[in-house]
Amino acid sequence: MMADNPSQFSHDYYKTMELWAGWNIGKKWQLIAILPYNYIHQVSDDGVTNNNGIGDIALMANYKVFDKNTTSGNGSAVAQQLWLGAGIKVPTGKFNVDATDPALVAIANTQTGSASTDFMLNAMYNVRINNFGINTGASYKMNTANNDKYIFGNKFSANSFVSYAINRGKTTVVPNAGILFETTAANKLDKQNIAQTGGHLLAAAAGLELSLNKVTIGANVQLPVNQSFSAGQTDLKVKGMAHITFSF
Amino acid sequence: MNKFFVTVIVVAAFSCNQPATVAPEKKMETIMAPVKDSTINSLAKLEYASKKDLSCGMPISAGLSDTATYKGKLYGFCSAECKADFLKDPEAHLAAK
Repeated sequence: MMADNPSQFSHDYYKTMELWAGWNIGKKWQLIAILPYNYIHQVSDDGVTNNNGIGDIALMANYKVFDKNTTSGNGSAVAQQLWLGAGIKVPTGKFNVDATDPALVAIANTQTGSASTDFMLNAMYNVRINNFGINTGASYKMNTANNDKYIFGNKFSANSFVSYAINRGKTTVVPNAGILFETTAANKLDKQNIAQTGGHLLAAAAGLELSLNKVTIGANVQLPVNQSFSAGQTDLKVKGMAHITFSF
Repeated sequence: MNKFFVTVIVVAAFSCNQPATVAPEKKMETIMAPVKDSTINSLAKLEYASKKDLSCGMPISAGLSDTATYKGKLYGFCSAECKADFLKDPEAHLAAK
């Protein structure tokens, strides 16, 4: 790595605020629109770079394949749900890169959008046995090339969480813990794989949710257990998530 | 089931990078092989006169693949290219330290 190469080393801070608007249509269908706003802060040898703005809007449709509620002889209530869904992500974010820049990969990762139209498939299976719950999900994102012929690698992700609901009057407190896995294929430029892109992450997470009437708030912290991104050159240190949901 | 819901989610992540810096070229499947071997781990245990690769400026804690001794002091480098660049004019690199 020579001195005239930019961005030899960096600390990257990614923050995304997402506004989800959901519509339950009947008992089987659910439509969701997701509007992200990205804050990307990069501190490197070359200085500080900030890249903020609206990201790529996503539209999802989910279908509830089954919803079974049974009560066993010993009084245990078991509820199961399976959802399948598909979606599309449209290029509303910014992707301003020069494909000939030596630091192309680093720059591409700090854009607010991918400038590509991408497609998503997802599945979610929930089981609840009395106060215990297990939520398992998987999704696959298929990316297409943008006008610069750059393609972010397709991504598979899966997660599974266990939880226990503690009811206190109108309030429900739900501690949860789980694991998350994701694997991303190499990025491509003009159909050629770009070295040192893609990778995998296995993380452990723990969190808490609080529901009161029609408002739910929650947060979790995710710590990597095993990871290899960009041929070991990128290390995720910590990830956190917080949300608030209003139902009406 | 409620008919509508609105959710605001905030996700924050922190990562450390040594990004790839070689331009992708056509007709090349892979561009730059990562340098990872046991030598790197043993190099990390040595004491260096500078906490940075004096050629590219990268912190040596991010990984080393080569060293050079100059005027009795040991310096660490992230690559053989950086070492070669340093040895072309050590005084200039030390002055810019």
